[in-house]
Amino acid sequence: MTDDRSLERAARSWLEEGPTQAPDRAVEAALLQIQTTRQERDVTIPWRVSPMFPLRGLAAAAVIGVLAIGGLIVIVRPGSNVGATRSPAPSATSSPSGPAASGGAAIGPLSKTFTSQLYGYQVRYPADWSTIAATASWSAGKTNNWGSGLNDEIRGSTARFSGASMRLGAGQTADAWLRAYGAGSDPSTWPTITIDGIVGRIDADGVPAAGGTISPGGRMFDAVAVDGPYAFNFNMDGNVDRATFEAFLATVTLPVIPALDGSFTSSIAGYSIRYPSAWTVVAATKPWTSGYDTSHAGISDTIGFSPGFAGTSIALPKGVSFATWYATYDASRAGGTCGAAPKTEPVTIDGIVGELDVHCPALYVEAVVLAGGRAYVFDLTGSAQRPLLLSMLATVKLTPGTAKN
Amino acid sequence: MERARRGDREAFAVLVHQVSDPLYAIAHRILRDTGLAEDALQNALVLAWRRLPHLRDADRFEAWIHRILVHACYDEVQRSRHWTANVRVLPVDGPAMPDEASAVAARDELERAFRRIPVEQRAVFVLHHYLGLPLVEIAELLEIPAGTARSRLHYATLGLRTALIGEAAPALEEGRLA
Repeated sequence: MTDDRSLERAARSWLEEGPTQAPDRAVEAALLQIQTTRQERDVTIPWRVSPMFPLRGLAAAAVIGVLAIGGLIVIVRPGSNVGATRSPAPSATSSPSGPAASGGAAIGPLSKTFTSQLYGYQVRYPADWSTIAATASWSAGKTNNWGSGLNDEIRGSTARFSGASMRLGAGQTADAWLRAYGAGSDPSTWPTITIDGIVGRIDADGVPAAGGTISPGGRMFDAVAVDGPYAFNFNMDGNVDRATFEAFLATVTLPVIPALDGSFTSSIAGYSIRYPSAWTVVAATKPWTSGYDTSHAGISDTIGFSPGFAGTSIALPKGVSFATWYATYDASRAGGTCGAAPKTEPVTIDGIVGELDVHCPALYVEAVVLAGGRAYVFDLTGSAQRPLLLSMLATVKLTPGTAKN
Repeated sequence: MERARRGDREAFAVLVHQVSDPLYAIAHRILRDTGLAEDALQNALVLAWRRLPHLRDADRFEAWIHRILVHACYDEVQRSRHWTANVRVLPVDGPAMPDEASAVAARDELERAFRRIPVEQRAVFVLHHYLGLPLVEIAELLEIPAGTARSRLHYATLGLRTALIGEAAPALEEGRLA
């Protein structure tokens, strides 16, 4: 550990491992205290935080606070998420009683946040619902039926929220995607709905739920929205109504893909890629010539951090096929933080199909592809970064002939 | 934002739900303690509510609340007289391989080394390496000279490196990051 960059990469990886969601009790306790705290106006106060009563021990009061405060969360549609550049969403359809199931059973406050590690969006949901993350990615040609494993599912006892996303095909427009999704139905006739500042369409508006619904006899709502190169599909089925669906959608934040307005060409590894120009580039200083560990100092180009991209390539040893090399490389991951990679999904990089490792999307996603006798490894560390990596990979040009070694 | 500035608690609650997760993540990384991080988050959110009418530029909200949070973290450290042995439980059932054991030891060493660094240095380290903020922005955010931000980062890195040189170093160099 004599190299600062090696230390910093290790430290960043370690920092990434910590919690990313605030405990509900902390947020609820703060909201409860705010209910009885007045704002300061036209006075100057020091930055120091005055001692307050400790969070611990507030549990009982917080429960009462949730009842008082939580209800407001579901009837107020947030504007654009902090720091994002989307246009503010229009006002929500107010529901004085908050979301309620069509049968009259109230759905609790949307007090917890689900982050889709595969698709990058977030949505809030009731604390007593359970979540099941998608186990495979939705893509063209795949039908994301309930239970297909392509949807994130958030389940209550009689209602369910599902979400999925796919990248549009090369050159495909939003209209073309919507028409394909509509399978003959005209999307322009579907009601519109705003999701995180993006105008989407509701293609199923309270129709009887299809087979496989969580609550037979219930209804189904389905919305789609295209944000840049990604299409999103959100669905609710079971004992739900339109207000409930809208309340959930009002909490959705879509992943923000920064502009890839910088360009980097790796003179050592033989590729080029576009990236957010605000990110700092540290070019590799030596080629990757042996072994399977791309974290050794200096053999990967790194761009940015948290999220942070790393790219490198290695010439396959003579007589060793990519399949053989990749099997060993894949096995080497077992010693990493996330253990073995039990599955990958195909990814096309500069016209070549490679392997995308998505088994640990809370920490990283990684693509491996063969070109010109070289194995290229591109990874992006950080939580829920698959959409960003896919966008960056779509700009990659592989030039194995220019690589050094 | 404007509604919240004018005293609308419902509007502020929406803001709270948007910022609480990233704020908690930062606090936990600085303080390395769940209870202290929760208290820092709570105090920061309440103070932000109180001070919100003073925020003139809504575009500065994120940096503004980050500053409040970091100061809340400082206060939590001052308030806690001693660190509890809240070493992170690593996700292993028992190292199956020597490399795995080395990685566990290295991360444990990182944890302990980081706790020995002054909280002001930890804050700069986290803002730089976790949030990805340039030092100039960190200096502006914390209202300290740029040179101070740079030296805090330098000493934090130095402290970690000094603590890690030794038996844990080979494991960090040899283990995959992800």
